[in-house]
Amino acid sequence: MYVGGFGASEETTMNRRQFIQAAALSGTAGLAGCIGGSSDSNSSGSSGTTTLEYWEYFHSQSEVAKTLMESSVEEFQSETDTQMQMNWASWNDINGGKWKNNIQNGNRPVIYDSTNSLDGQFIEPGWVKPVSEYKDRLDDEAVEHLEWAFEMTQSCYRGFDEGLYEIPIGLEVGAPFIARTDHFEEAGLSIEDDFPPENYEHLVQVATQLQEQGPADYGFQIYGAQGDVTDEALVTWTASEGGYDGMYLNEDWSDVNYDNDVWKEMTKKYVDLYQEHGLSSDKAPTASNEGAAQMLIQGNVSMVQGSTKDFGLLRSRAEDMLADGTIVFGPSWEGAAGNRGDFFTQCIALMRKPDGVDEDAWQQREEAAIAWINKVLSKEFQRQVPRSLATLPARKDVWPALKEDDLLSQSNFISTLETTVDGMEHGWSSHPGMNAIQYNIAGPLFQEAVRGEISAEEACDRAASEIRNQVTF
Amino acid sequence: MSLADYDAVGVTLKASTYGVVWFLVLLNLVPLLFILSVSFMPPTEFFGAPHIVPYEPTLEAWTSGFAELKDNLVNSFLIGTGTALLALAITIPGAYAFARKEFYGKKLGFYAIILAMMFPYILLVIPIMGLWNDLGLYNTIPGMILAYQVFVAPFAIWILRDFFETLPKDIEEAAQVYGCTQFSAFVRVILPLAAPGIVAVGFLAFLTGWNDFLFANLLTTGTGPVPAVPVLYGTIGGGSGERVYWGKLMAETLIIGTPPTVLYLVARNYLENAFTV
Repeated sequence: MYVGGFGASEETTMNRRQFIQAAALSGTAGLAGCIGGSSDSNSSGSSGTTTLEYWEYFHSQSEVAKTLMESSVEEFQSETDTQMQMNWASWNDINGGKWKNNIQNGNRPVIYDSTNSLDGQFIEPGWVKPVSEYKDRLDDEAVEHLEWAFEMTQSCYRGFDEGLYEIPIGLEVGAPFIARTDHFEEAGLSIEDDFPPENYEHLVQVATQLQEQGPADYGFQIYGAQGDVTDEALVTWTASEGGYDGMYLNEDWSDVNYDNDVWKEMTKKYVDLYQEHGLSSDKAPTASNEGAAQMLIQGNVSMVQGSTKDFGLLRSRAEDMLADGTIVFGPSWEGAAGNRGDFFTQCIALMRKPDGVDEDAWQQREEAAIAWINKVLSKEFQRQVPRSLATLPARKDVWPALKEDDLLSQSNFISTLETTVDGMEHGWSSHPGMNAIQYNIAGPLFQEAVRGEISAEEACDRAASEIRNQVTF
Repeated sequence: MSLADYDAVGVTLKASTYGVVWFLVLLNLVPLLFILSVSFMPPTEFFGAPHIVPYEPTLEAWTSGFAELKDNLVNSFLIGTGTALLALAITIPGAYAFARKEFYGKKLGFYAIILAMMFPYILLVIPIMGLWNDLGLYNTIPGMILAYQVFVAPFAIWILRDFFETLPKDIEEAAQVYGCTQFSAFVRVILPLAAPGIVAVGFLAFLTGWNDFLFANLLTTGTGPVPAVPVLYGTIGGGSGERVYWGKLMAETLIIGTPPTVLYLVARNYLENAFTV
């Protein structure tokens, strides 16, 4: 056979052809899914292993949380005949529409964990199974010690028909004061008597003395970052002052509260700390609560009112200062409404069976999911919650043991959370529009108020007005 | 040398040129050095006062970053390679036809393909999600490889068509005179000559499959084959979008950036030939 004038022999031509054919076959096979890892999610394996699709968020809270979740999943798989199919999601996956898009397209997990305020988008269309439908399948002992949290958490779902849609694993109770004891001493203040501040006037007085007589440039740092200005210290003040009037939405979710007197007064007081009293640095309009905590570590400020999550941050950046008592926590003051602020939950929930899935197969996966929930509600897991998720464990009977924990007993973090949660009853709403309500609309306006570009009253009015125009109630 | 021989303007010009060059080099180099430096720092250092040389260097960020990414890097490699191979398989014959053949609607067809590039491809996400779900391609590597063709194929056809057009027709005709069929002349003559262009297009297609975030994130649930870039996004996002583990973020960025860099170095000669005007 003549193969042309380019020196190729018949043998090599045949080899090349064979190679091309083999490559084409491999490529086609690969594209057909052999290399793909295509996931027939939630299937029950032929070997009797149950495959459980689990959308997981807790791990993203910290490196410690990540380790805890990974090792717990591994342990669970080895203890049970379950193969967990994890998606290891981030806050943006839940908030940015990825989860919702997937569910709308028929990709639904049996179980997920999340933060309650992000989950109204899943509850409203009826995708989430109310806890009442499977509460009796949970571990009795765990439920007994969780009843208080179940009751409290119902305030988060008050706009829906059922009382409870998600099981609280940890409660993030806001927002504790965090202070430098060495600065208090240098300023001639007593950490026992002058901390935490008993009310707003006391806060101004202590912060002024810290600034004037202490080593730091500023006495109390507020933060105006769009993601923090409305969801930490300020809402703690409004909730403790106004109860439901101080929450973002009113009691029956028929309206937004930003333009009521409680919000206007507290927002003005918050902004005044920086604009009028000069107690915060010029970074206030853009600072985040983590940034404020960093300023506390560096000694630029003497006191902040931050997130419980700052405990994790302080552990990684200033463990010595926590251990030797240089940095201490204190609960926010009790306001006129008889509480010390608001809370939200790190929670876990089951999803309803989608159409077209075999009832028995779903039931089998749900059993595995219940077994997992019981694991995260176990004493062993719950004891890890403060270290990993930096929140108060929902299971109350583990609290005493936390005070004996080597790391936690070095600071007054847990006792501060215990005091804060006492009498607390107002949770962040799981309204489907919470992202816009808390952050996207209100955040920039409240930041403008911190900058001094608009008044606190105008920020409140405009936020309420824009939310009414854009969010369905 | 007298002062009169001294070309003050020339020296100033040269100094200024070097100054600008050095400034631009540093502008690129310093952030890169900082990325490298932070990847070796323990958290207590990168959250503290900024400095370039780590006081207590550690490999922690690299080991944890690599452990987190290793499966995803394999997925990215499969997606990048698949995207490149499929794009070449589709576009080489297509571009050749647009360059060398005359057929009805050639011009219109070519501009229609180019027009597809002009729209932001986020527009396609929702329809592709729905379609891929129906076809069983959602959350699969083949699904992503196919999805990338939507925007890889047009630019590949564009580049390759121009490349084929620059090759002299005489060589192909000569090969046919010597006994080649049209197809074997294309395979034995045109393809080797077009190697720089093909390598360049393959490299760019691989980069698209390797680096893309939008489709990689939205065409996966996270439980199936997740490429490396969405994992990096998770590291950036952190829990509430505020706490970033900078050391791991930098290490993961460098880990993800290394394979394309190596690939570029290997294929550098071809790429330079392809883009030489």
